[in-house]
Amino acid sequence: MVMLDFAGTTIDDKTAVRDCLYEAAVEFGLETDPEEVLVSIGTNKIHLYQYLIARKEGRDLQIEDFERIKDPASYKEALKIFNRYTELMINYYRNDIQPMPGAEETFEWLHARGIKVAIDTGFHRDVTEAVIEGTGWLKSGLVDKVVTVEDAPGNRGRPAPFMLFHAMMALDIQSVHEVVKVGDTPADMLEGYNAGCIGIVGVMSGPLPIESYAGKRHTHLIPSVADLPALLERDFL
Amino acid sequence: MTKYKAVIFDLAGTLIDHGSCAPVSAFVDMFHAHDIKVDASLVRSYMGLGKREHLAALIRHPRVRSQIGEGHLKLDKPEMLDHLYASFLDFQVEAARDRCVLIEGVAKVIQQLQASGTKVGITTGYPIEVVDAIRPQLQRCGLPTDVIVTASDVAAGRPAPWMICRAAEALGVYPMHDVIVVDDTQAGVQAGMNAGCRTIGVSRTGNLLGLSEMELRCIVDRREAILAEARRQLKEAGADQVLESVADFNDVIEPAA
Repeated sequence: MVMLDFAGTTIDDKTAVRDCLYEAAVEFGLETDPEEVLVSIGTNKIHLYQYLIARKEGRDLQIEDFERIKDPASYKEALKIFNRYTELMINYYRNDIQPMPGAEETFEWLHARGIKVAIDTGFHRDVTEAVIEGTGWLKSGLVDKVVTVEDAPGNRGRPAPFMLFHAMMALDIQSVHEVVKVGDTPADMLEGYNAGCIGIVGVMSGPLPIESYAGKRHTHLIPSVADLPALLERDFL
Repeated sequence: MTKYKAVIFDLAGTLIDHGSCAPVSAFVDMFHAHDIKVDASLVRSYMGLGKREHLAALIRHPRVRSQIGEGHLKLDKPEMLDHLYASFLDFQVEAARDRCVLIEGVAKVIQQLQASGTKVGITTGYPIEVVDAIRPQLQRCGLPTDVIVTASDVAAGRPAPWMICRAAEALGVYPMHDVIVVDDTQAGVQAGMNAGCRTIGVSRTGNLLGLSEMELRCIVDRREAILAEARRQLKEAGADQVLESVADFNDVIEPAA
Protein backbone atom coordinates (compact mmCIF):
# COMPACT_ATOMS: atom_id res chain seq x y z
CA MET A 1 0.00 0.00 0.00
CA VAL A 2 1.17 3.53 -0.69
CA MET A 3 -0.32 6.23 1.49
CA LEU A 4 -0.14 9.69 -0.05
CA ASP A 5 -1.13 13.14 1.01
CA PHE A 6 -3.44 15.49 -0.90
CA ALA A 7 -2.31 19.09 -1.04
CA GLY A 8 1.22 19.50 -2.25
CA THR A 9 1.66 15.83 -3.09
CA THR A 10 -1.15 14.59 -5.33
CA ILE A 11 -3.05 17.86 -5.65
CA ASP A 12 -1.27 20.88 -7.08
CA ASP A 13 -2.83 23.69 -5.18
CA LYS A 14 0.27 25.84 -5.04
CA THR A 15 -0.20 27.95 -1.91
CA ALA A 16 -3.96 27.68 -1.59
CA VAL A 17 -4.00 25.95 1.80
CA ARG A 18 -1.60 28.48 3.25
CA ASP A 19 -3.45 31.43 1.75
CA CYS A 20 -6.87 30.28 2.96
CA LEU A 21 -5.52 29.54 6.46
CA TYR A 22 -3.93 32.97 6.59
CA GLU A 23 -6.93 34.82 5.18
CA ALA A 24 -9.29 33.28 7.74
CA ALA A 25 -6.91 34.13 10.57
CA VAL A 26 -6.68 37.74 9.45
CA GLU A 27 -10.44 38.08 9.09
CA PHE A 28 -10.77 37.19 12.78
CA GLY A 29 -8.12 39.64 13.88
CA LEU A 30 -5.29 37.19 14.63
CA GLU A 31 -1.74 38.32 14.17
CA THR A 32 0.28 36.07 11.97
CA ASP A 33 1.93 35.93 8.57
CA PRO A 34 1.74 33.45 5.70
CA GLU A 35 5.15 31.98 6.56
CA GLU A 36 4.14 31.21 10.12
CA VAL A 37 0.96 29.51 8.99
CA LEU A 38 3.08 27.29 6.75
CA VAL A 39 4.92 25.81 9.71
CA SER A 40 1.81 24.00 10.89
CA ILE A 41 0.81 22.68 7.52
CA GLY A 42 -0.13 19.03 7.39
CA THR A 43 -1.37 18.97 10.96
CA ASN A 44 -4.58 19.87 12.70
CA LYS A 45 -5.64 23.32 11.56
CA ILE A 46 -7.83 23.94 14.57
CA HIS A 47 -4.73 23.52 16.72
CA LEU A 48 -3.04 26.24 14.67
CA TYR A 49 -5.83 28.68 15.43
CA GLN A 50 -5.92 27.70 19.08
CA TYR A 51 -2.20 28.40 19.25
CA LEU A 52 -2.61 31.85 17.65
CA ILE A 53 -5.48 32.72 19.93
CA ALA A 54 -3.59 31.61 23.02
CA ARG A 55 -0.59 33.61 21.91
CA LYS A 56 -2.69 36.75 21.40
CA GLU A 57 -3.92 36.34 24.96
CA GLY A 58 -0.37 36.10 26.19
CA ARG A 59 -0.53 32.41 27.08
CA ASP A 60 2.68 30.49 26.64
CA LEU A 61 1.72 27.41 24.66
CA GLN A 62 3.24 25.64 21.69
CA ILE A 63 1.18 24.32 18.82
CA GLU A 64 2.23 20.74 19.71
CA ASP A 65 0.68 21.19 23.16
CA PHE A 66 -2.76 21.15 21.57
CA GLU A 67 -2.14 17.57 20.46
CA ARG A 68 -2.39 16.68 24.12
CA ILE A 69 -4.67 19.24 25.75
CA LYS A 70 -8.23 20.18 24.84
CA ASP A 71 -8.30 23.83 25.99
CA PRO A 72 -12.00 24.72 25.61
CA ALA A 73 -11.16 28.39 26.11
CA SER A 74 -9.57 28.73 22.70
CA TYR A 75 -11.40 25.90 20.98
CA LYS A 76 -14.70 27.68 20.42
CA GLU A 77 -13.15 30.67 18.70
CA ALA A 78 -10.68 28.49 16.81
CA LEU A 79 -13.55 26.45 15.45
CA LYS A 80 -15.23 29.58 14.05
CA ILE A 81 -12.07 30.58 12.24
CA PHE A 82 -11.56 27.05 11.04
CA ASN A 83 -15.08 26.97 9.59
CA ARG A 84 -14.35 30.14 7.67
CA TYR A 85 -11.10 28.61 6.39
CA THR A 86 -13.11 25.58 5.31
CA GLU A 87 -15.51 27.75 3.30
CA LEU A 88 -12.59 29.42 1.55
CA MET A 89 -10.95 26.07 0.88
CA ILE A 90 -14.05 24.37 -0.51
CA ASN A 91 -14.64 27.29 -2.78
CA TYR A 92 -11.12 27.05 -4.08
CA TYR A 93 -11.26 23.31 -4.72
CA ARG A 94 -14.65 23.44 -6.36
CA ASN A 95 -13.40 25.95 -8.87
CA ASP A 96 -9.78 25.28 -9.38
CA ILE A 97 -8.59 21.77 -8.61
CA GLN A 98 -5.47 20.50 -10.35
CA PRO A 99 -4.02 17.04 -9.87
CA MET A 100 -0.26 17.11 -9.45
CA PRO A 101 1.37 16.28 -12.79
CA GLY A 102 2.10 12.57 -12.82
CA ALA A 103 -0.18 11.71 -9.91
CA GLU A 104 -2.81 9.83 -11.90
CA GLU A 105 -0.16 8.00 -13.93
CA THR A 106 1.48 6.96 -10.67
CA PHE A 107 -1.82 5.65 -9.30
CA GLU A 108 -2.26 3.54 -12.44
CA TRP A 109 1.30 2.29 -12.21
CA LEU A 110 0.74 1.21 -8.59
CA HIS A 111 -2.50 -0.59 -9.37
CA ALA A 112 -0.86 -2.38 -12.29
CA ARG A 113 1.55 -3.84 -9.74
CA GLY A 114 -1.15 -4.82 -7.27
CA ILE A 115 -0.30 -2.01 -4.87
CA LYS A 116 -3.18 -0.29 -3.11
CA VAL A 117 -3.48 3.50 -3.28
CA ALA A 118 -4.64 5.33 -0.19
CA ILE A 119 -4.77 9.01 0.65
CA ASP A 120 -4.84 10.62 4.03
CA THR A 121 -5.26 14.26 4.72
CA GLY A 122 -5.32 16.85 7.44
CA PHE A 123 -8.54 18.11 5.89
CA HIS A 124 -11.86 17.36 7.52
CA ARG A 125 -14.53 15.50 5.61
CA ASP A 126 -16.20 18.49 3.99
CA VAL A 127 -13.09 19.80 2.26
CA THR A 128 -12.01 16.27 1.44
CA GLU A 129 -15.32 15.58 -0.27
CA ALA A 130 -14.88 18.70 -2.39
CA VAL A 131 -11.48 17.42 -3.49
CA ILE A 132 -12.76 13.91 -4.15
CA GLU A 133 -15.64 15.24 -6.25
CA GLY A 134 -13.35 17.61 -8.06
CA THR A 135 -10.89 14.87 -9.03
CA GLY A 136 -13.30 11.94 -9.34
CA TRP A 137 -10.58 9.63 -7.99
CA LEU A 138 -12.72 7.38 -5.81
CA LYS A 139 -15.37 7.06 -8.48
CA SER A 140 -12.84 6.14 -11.13
CA GLY A 141 -11.09 3.78 -8.77
CA LEU A 142 -7.74 5.50 -9.15
CA VAL A 143 -7.68 5.80 -5.38
CA ASP A 144 -8.82 2.89 -3.15
CA LYS A 145 -9.35 4.66 0.16
CA VAL A 146 -9.40 8.20 1.49
CA VAL A 147 -8.99 8.84 5.21
CA THR A 148 -9.62 12.14 6.96
CA VAL A 149 -8.82 13.44 10.40
CA GLU A 150 -12.38 12.60 11.42
CA ASP A 151 -11.78 8.89 10.76
CA ALA A 152 -9.15 8.72 13.45
CA PRO A 153 -10.21 8.18 17.06
CA GLY A 154 -10.44 11.49 18.87
CA ASN A 155 -9.78 13.22 15.53
CA ARG A 156 -6.07 12.60 16.05
CA GLY A 157 -4.48 13.26 12.72
CA ARG A 158 -0.78 13.54 11.92
CA PRO A 159 1.69 12.97 13.36
CA ALA A 160 -0.28 10.16 15.02
CA PRO A 161 -0.26 7.04 12.81
CA PHE A 162 -3.94 6.28 13.40
CA MET A 163 -5.27 7.50 10.04
CA LEU A 164 -2.75 5.25 8.37
CA PHE A 165 -3.87 2.22 10.42
CA HIS A 166 -7.46 3.04 9.50
CA ALA A 167 -6.61 2.81 5.80
CA MET A 168 -4.63 -0.40 6.30
CA MET A 169 -7.59 -1.96 8.08
CA ALA A 170 -10.02 -0.88 5.36
CA LEU A 171 -7.79 -2.30 2.61
CA ASP A 172 -6.66 -5.34 4.64
CA ILE A 173 -2.97 -4.52 4.36
CA GLN A 174 -1.75 -6.38 7.38
CA SER A 175 1.77 -5.14 7.94
CA VAL A 176 3.40 -1.72 8.17
CA HIS A 177 6.35 -3.34 6.44
CA GLU A 178 4.21 -3.34 3.29
CA VAL A 179 3.38 0.34 3.46
CA VAL A 180 5.17 3.34 1.98
CA LYS A 181 4.15 6.82 3.11
CA VAL A 182 4.51 9.76 0.71
CA GLY A 183 3.99 13.38 1.66
CA ASP A 184 5.20 16.95 1.37
CA THR A 185 5.41 18.04 5.00
CA PRO A 186 7.37 17.13 8.14
CA ALA A 187 4.07 15.98 9.64
CA ASP A 188 3.77 13.38 6.87
CA MET A 189 7.29 12.13 7.59
CA LEU A 190 6.51 11.87 11.30
CA GLU A 191 3.32 9.99 10.55
CA GLY A 192 5.24 7.41 8.51
CA TYR A 193 7.89 7.13 11.21
CA ASN A 194 5.32 6.76 13.99
CA ALA A 195 3.59 3.98 12.07
CA GLY A 196 6.81 2.17 11.24
CA CYS A 197 6.34 2.25 7.45
CA ILE A 198 9.03 0.58 5.40
CA GLY A 199 9.39 3.69 3.25
CA ILE A 200 8.92 7.31 4.22
CA VAL A 201 9.19 9.45 1.10
CA GLY A 202 9.20 13.22 1.03
CA VAL A 203 8.27 15.12 -2.13
CA MET A 204 9.59 18.56 -2.99
CA SER A 205 6.39 19.67 -4.73
CA GLY A 206 4.83 21.26 -1.66
CA PRO A 207 5.12 24.75 -0.21
CA LEU A 208 7.92 23.97 2.24
CA PRO A 209 11.66 24.23 1.55
CA ILE A 210 13.93 21.20 1.71
CA GLU A 211 15.34 22.29 5.07
CA SER A 212 12.01 21.53 6.71
CA TYR A 213 12.70 17.81 6.30
CA ALA A 214 15.76 18.10 8.54
CA GLY A 215 15.42 16.06 11.71
CA LYS A 216 12.30 14.29 10.49
CA ARG A 217 13.19 10.71 9.66
CA HIS A 218 12.56 9.79 6.07
CA THR A 219 14.01 7.20 3.74
CA HIS A 220 13.94 9.15 0.48
CA LEU A 221 13.32 12.59 -1.02
CA ILE A 222 12.05 12.91 -4.59
CA PRO A 223 11.01 15.92 -6.68
CA SER A 224 7.36 14.86 -6.98
CA VAL A 225 4.85 12.00 -7.07
CA ALA A 226 5.73 11.54 -10.74
CA ASP A 227 9.10 10.17 -9.59
CA LEU A 228 7.62 7.61 -7.22
CA PRO A 229 7.42 4.65 -9.63
CA ALA A 230 11.12 4.83 -10.44
CA LEU A 231 11.97 4.96 -6.73
CA LEU A 232 9.73 2.04 -5.79
CA GLU A 233 11.10 0.01 -8.69
CA ARG A 234 14.65 0.67 -7.59
CA ASP A 235 14.39 0.28 -3.84
CA PHE A 236 11.23 -1.53 -2.85
CA LEU A 237 10.09 -3.96 -5.48
CA MET B 1 13.48 -0.32 33.37
CA THR B 2 13.53 0.63 29.73
CA LYS B 3 12.03 3.75 28.28
CA TYR B 4 9.09 2.22 26.44
CA LYS B 5 5.87 4.18 26.25
CA ALA B 6 3.47 1.27 26.41
CA VAL B 7 3.30 -2.48 26.75
CA ILE B 8 0.45 -4.37 25.16
CA PHE B 9 -0.09 -7.82 26.63
CA ASP B 10 -2.01 -10.79 25.39
CA LEU B 11 -4.31 -12.32 28.00
CA ALA B 12 -4.53 -16.11 28.25
CA GLY B 13 -1.16 -17.76 28.68
CA THR B 14 0.53 -14.41 29.16
CA LEU B 15 -1.16 -12.57 32.05
CA ILE B 16 -3.67 -15.17 33.24
CA ASP B 17 -4.38 -18.86 32.76
CA HIS B 18 -0.99 -20.60 32.93
CA GLY B 19 -0.79 -22.83 29.87
CA SER B 20 -3.70 -21.09 28.10
CA CYS B 21 -5.97 -23.94 29.11
CA ALA B 22 -9.38 -22.25 29.10
CA PRO B 23 -9.63 -21.75 25.33
CA VAL B 24 -8.61 -25.36 24.81
CA SER B 25 -11.08 -26.90 27.23
CA ALA B 26 -13.83 -24.66 25.86
CA PHE B 27 -13.26 -25.98 22.33
CA VAL B 28 -12.85 -29.61 23.38
CA ASP B 29 -15.97 -29.51 25.56
CA MET B 30 -18.07 -27.73 22.96
CA PHE B 31 -17.16 -30.22 20.25
CA HIS B 32 -17.72 -33.06 22.69
CA ALA B 33 -21.24 -31.79 23.31
CA HIS B 34 -21.79 -32.19 19.57
CA ASP B 35 -20.29 -35.69 19.59
CA ILE B 36 -17.14 -34.54 17.84
CA LYS B 37 -13.72 -35.56 19.18
CA VAL B 38 -11.03 -32.88 18.99
CA ASP B 39 -7.63 -33.25 20.61
CA ALA B 40 -6.01 -30.43 22.51
CA SER B 41 -2.93 -30.25 20.30
CA LEU B 42 -5.07 -29.53 17.23
CA VAL B 43 -6.85 -26.76 19.10
CA ARG B 44 -3.54 -25.30 20.25
CA SER B 45 -2.14 -25.23 16.73
CA TYR B 46 -4.44 -22.31 15.89
CA MET B 47 -4.13 -20.43 19.17
CA GLY B 48 -3.86 -16.67 18.97
CA LEU B 49 -6.50 -16.19 16.31
CA GLY B 50 -9.81 -14.57 17.16
CA LYS B 51 -11.99 -17.34 18.58
CA ARG B 52 -14.44 -17.31 15.70
CA GLU B 53 -11.62 -17.54 13.17
CA HIS B 54 -10.11 -20.26 15.38
CA LEU B 55 -13.36 -22.24 15.24
CA ALA B 56 -13.61 -21.78 11.47
CA ALA B 57 -10.07 -23.13 11.06
CA LEU B 58 -10.86 -26.16 13.22
CA ILE B 59 -14.01 -27.20 11.37
CA ARG B 60 -12.11 -26.94 8.08
CA HIS B 61 -9.44 -29.35 9.35
CA PRO B 62 -9.80 -32.89 7.93
CA ARG B 63 -9.77 -34.53 11.37
CA VAL B 64 -12.83 -32.50 12.37
CA ARG B 65 -14.46 -32.29 8.95
CA SER B 66 -14.52 -36.04 8.69
CA GLN B 67 -16.60 -36.25 11.85
CA ILE B 68 -19.19 -33.79 10.61
CA GLY B 69 -21.10 -36.09 8.33
CA GLU B 70 -24.13 -35.54 6.12
CA GLY B 71 -26.76 -35.87 8.78
CA HIS B 72 -24.47 -35.33 11.75
CA LEU B 73 -25.56 -31.89 12.73
CA LYS B 74 -28.41 -31.67 10.27
CA LEU B 75 -27.16 -28.31 9.10
CA ASP B 76 -26.05 -26.78 5.82
CA LYS B 77 -22.37 -25.99 5.83
CA PRO B 78 -22.50 -22.15 5.90
CA GLU B 79 -24.69 -22.16 8.97
CA MET B 80 -22.57 -24.67 10.80
CA LEU B 81 -20.02 -22.11 11.92
CA ASP B 82 -22.73 -19.83 13.26
CA HIS B 83 -24.45 -22.65 15.10
CA LEU B 84 -21.28 -23.99 16.66
CA TYR B 85 -20.03 -20.53 17.56
CA ALA B 86 -23.30 -19.63 19.26
CA SER B 87 -23.07 -22.72 21.47
CA PHE B 88 -19.36 -22.11 21.99
CA LEU B 89 -19.88 -18.87 23.89
CA ASP B 90 -21.18 -20.49 27.08
CA PHE B 91 -18.29 -22.95 27.08
CA GLN B 92 -15.81 -20.07 26.69
CA VAL B 93 -17.34 -18.07 29.50
CA GLU B 94 -17.31 -20.99 31.89
CA ALA B 95 -13.76 -22.01 31.09
CA ALA B 96 -12.47 -18.42 31.14
CA ARG B 97 -14.02 -17.79 34.56
CA ASP B 98 -12.52 -20.99 35.85
CA ARG B 99 -9.00 -20.15 34.63
CA CYS B 100 -9.01 -16.44 35.35
CA VAL B 101 -6.04 -16.74 37.67
CA LEU B 102 -3.13 -14.35 37.47
CA ILE B 103 0.15 -16.00 36.48
CA GLU B 104 2.70 -15.77 39.27
CA GLY B 105 4.76 -12.60 39.21
CA VAL B 106 2.47 -10.70 36.84
CA ALA B 107 0.93 -8.40 39.46
CA LYS B 108 4.31 -7.05 40.45
CA VAL B 109 5.34 -6.37 36.86
CA ILE B 110 2.10 -4.53 36.07
CA GLN B 111 2.48 -2.41 39.20
CA GLN B 112 6.05 -1.52 38.34
CA LEU B 113 5.17 -0.62 34.76
CA GLN B 114 2.37 1.65 35.86
CA ALA B 115 4.49 3.20 38.57
CA SER B 116 7.12 4.08 35.98
CA GLY B 117 4.55 5.82 33.78
CA THR B 118 4.46 3.12 31.12
CA LYS B 119 0.98 2.61 29.72
CA VAL B 120 -0.50 -0.88 29.73
CA GLY B 121 -3.05 -2.35 27.34
CA ILE B 122 -4.46 -5.82 26.76
CA THR B 123 -5.48 -7.64 23.60
CA THR B 124 -7.27 -10.95 23.44
CA GLY B 125 -8.71 -13.40 20.97
CA TYR B 126 -11.69 -13.77 23.31
CA PRO B 127 -14.86 -12.05 22.11
CA ILE B 128 -16.27 -9.12 24.08
CA GLU B 129 -18.88 -11.32 25.80
CA VAL B 130 -16.19 -13.40 27.45
CA VAL B 131 -14.15 -10.35 28.50
CA ASP B 132 -17.25 -8.74 30.00
CA ALA B 133 -17.96 -11.97 31.91
CA ILE B 134 -14.49 -12.03 33.48
CA ARG B 135 -13.94 -8.28 33.79
CA PRO B 136 -14.68 -8.16 37.55
CA GLN B 137 -12.21 -10.99 38.12
CA LEU B 138 -9.58 -9.24 36.00
CA GLN B 139 -10.05 -6.10 38.05
CA ARG B 140 -9.78 -8.03 41.29
CA CYS B 141 -6.49 -9.45 39.99
CA GLY B 142 -5.25 -5.90 39.67
CA LEU B 143 -5.14 -5.86 35.87
CA PRO B 144 -5.90 -2.56 34.13
CA THR B 145 -9.17 -3.08 32.25
CA ASP B 146 -9.66 0.32 30.66
CA VAL B 147 -7.89 -0.73 27.47
CA ILE B 148 -8.82 -4.28 26.53
CA VAL B 149 -9.22 -4.84 22.80
CA THR B 150 -11.07 -8.01 21.85
CA ALA B 151 -11.48 -9.87 18.60
CA SER B 152 -15.03 -8.47 18.45
CA ASP B 153 -13.63 -4.96 18.08
CA VAL B 154 -11.74 -5.51 14.84
CA ALA B 155 -12.17 -6.87 11.31
CA ALA B 156 -9.66 -9.67 11.82
CA GLY B 157 -7.70 -11.08 14.73
CA ARG B 158 -4.02 -12.00 14.88
CA PRO B 159 -1.75 -12.11 12.97
CA ALA B 160 -3.42 -8.95 11.64
CA PRO B 161 -2.16 -6.01 13.72
CA TRP B 162 -5.57 -4.38 14.25
CA MET B 163 -6.05 -5.16 17.93
CA ILE B 164 -2.62 -3.74 18.68
CA CYS B 165 -3.32 -0.63 16.57
CA ARG B 166 -6.59 -0.12 18.44
CA ALA B 167 -4.87 -0.53 21.78
CA ALA B 168 -2.23 2.03 20.79
CA GLU B 169 -4.98 4.42 19.71
CA ALA B 170 -6.84 3.97 22.99
CA LEU B 171 -3.64 4.51 24.97
CA GLY B 172 -2.69 7.42 22.72
CA VAL B 173 0.84 6.15 22.12
CA TYR B 174 3.24 6.27 19.21
CA PRO B 175 5.70 5.71 17.57
CA MET B 176 4.92 2.01 17.32
CA HIS B 177 8.53 1.02 17.88
CA ASP B 178 8.22 2.47 21.38
CA VAL B 179 5.48 -0.03 22.09
CA ILE B 180 6.24 -3.57 23.27
CA VAL B 181 3.90 -6.43 22.43
CA VAL B 182 4.01 -9.47 24.73
CA ASP B 183 2.37 -12.66 23.53
CA ASP B 184 2.61 -16.43 23.97
CA THR B 185 1.70 -17.45 20.41
CA GLN B 186 3.36 -17.22 17.01
CA ALA B 187 0.28 -15.44 15.61
CA GLY B 188 0.58 -12.90 18.41
CA VAL B 189 4.27 -12.30 17.73
CA GLN B 190 3.52 -11.84 14.03
CA ALA B 191 0.79 -9.36 14.88
CA GLY B 192 3.29 -7.37 16.93
CA MET B 193 5.72 -7.31 14.04
CA ASN B 194 2.99 -6.34 11.60
CA ALA B 195 2.18 -3.41 13.85
CA GLY B 196 5.79 -2.25 13.86
CA CYS B 197 6.26 -2.98 17.56
CA ARG B 198 9.02 -4.73 19.43
CA THR B 199 7.81 -8.18 20.35
CA ILE B 200 8.45 -10.42 23.33
CA GLY B 201 7.40 -14.04 23.16
CA VAL B 202 6.42 -15.92 26.31
CA SER B 203 7.38 -19.58 26.44
CA ARG B 204 6.87 -21.31 29.78
CA THR B 205 3.43 -20.03 30.81
CA GLY B 206 1.87 -20.02 27.38
CA ASN B 207 0.24 -21.95 24.63
CA LEU B 208 3.33 -23.55 23.14
CA LEU B 209 3.88 -25.65 26.24
CA GLY B 210 0.20 -25.74 27.02
CA LEU B 211 0.80 -26.82 30.59
CA SER B 212 -0.82 -25.64 33.80
CA GLU B 213 1.51 -24.93 36.70
CA MET B 214 0.70 -28.32 38.17
CA GLU B 215 1.34 -30.17 34.92
CA LEU B 216 4.61 -28.31 34.44
CA ARG B 217 5.82 -29.32 37.87
CA CYS B 218 5.25 -32.95 36.95
CA ILE B 219 7.51 -32.78 33.94
CA VAL B 220 11.13 -33.13 34.92
CA ASP B 221 13.06 -34.85 32.13
CA ARG B 222 11.69 -33.11 29.07
CA ARG B 223 11.35 -29.69 30.62
CA GLU B 224 14.47 -28.09 29.21
CA ALA B 225 13.86 -29.57 25.79
CA ILE B 226 10.28 -28.34 25.48
CA LEU B 227 11.21 -24.90 26.77
CA ALA B 228 14.00 -24.67 24.20
CA GLU B 229 11.64 -25.74 21.44
CA ALA B 230 9.02 -23.16 22.44
CA ARG B 231 11.71 -20.51 22.52
CA ARG B 232 12.90 -21.54 19.08
CA GLN B 233 9.38 -21.37 17.63
CA LEU B 234 8.74 -17.91 19.01
CA LYS B 235 12.10 -16.67 17.73
CA GLU B 236 11.36 -18.19 14.35
CA ALA B 237 8.02 -16.35 14.30
CA GLY B 238 10.06 -13.18 14.69
CA ALA B 239 10.09 -12.38 18.41
CA ASP B 240 12.82 -9.90 19.35
CA GLN B 241 13.15 -11.60 22.71
CA VAL B 242 11.68 -14.60 24.47
CA LEU B 243 10.95 -14.74 28.19
CA GLU B 244 9.77 -17.77 30.11
CA SER B 245 7.14 -15.66 31.81
CA VAL B 246 5.94 -12.06 32.12
CA ALA B 247 7.33 -12.32 35.65
CA ASP B 248 10.78 -11.99 34.05
CA PHE B 249 9.84 -8.76 32.26
CA ASN B 250 12.26 -6.69 34.30
CA ASP B 251 15.02 -8.54 32.54
CA VAL B 252 14.17 -6.58 29.38
CA ILE B 253 17.13 -4.28 29.41
CA GLU B 254 17.52 -3.08 25.84
CA PRO B 255 16.91 0.64 25.50
CA ALA B 256 14.12 1.99 23.34
CA ALA B 257 15.14 2.83 19.75
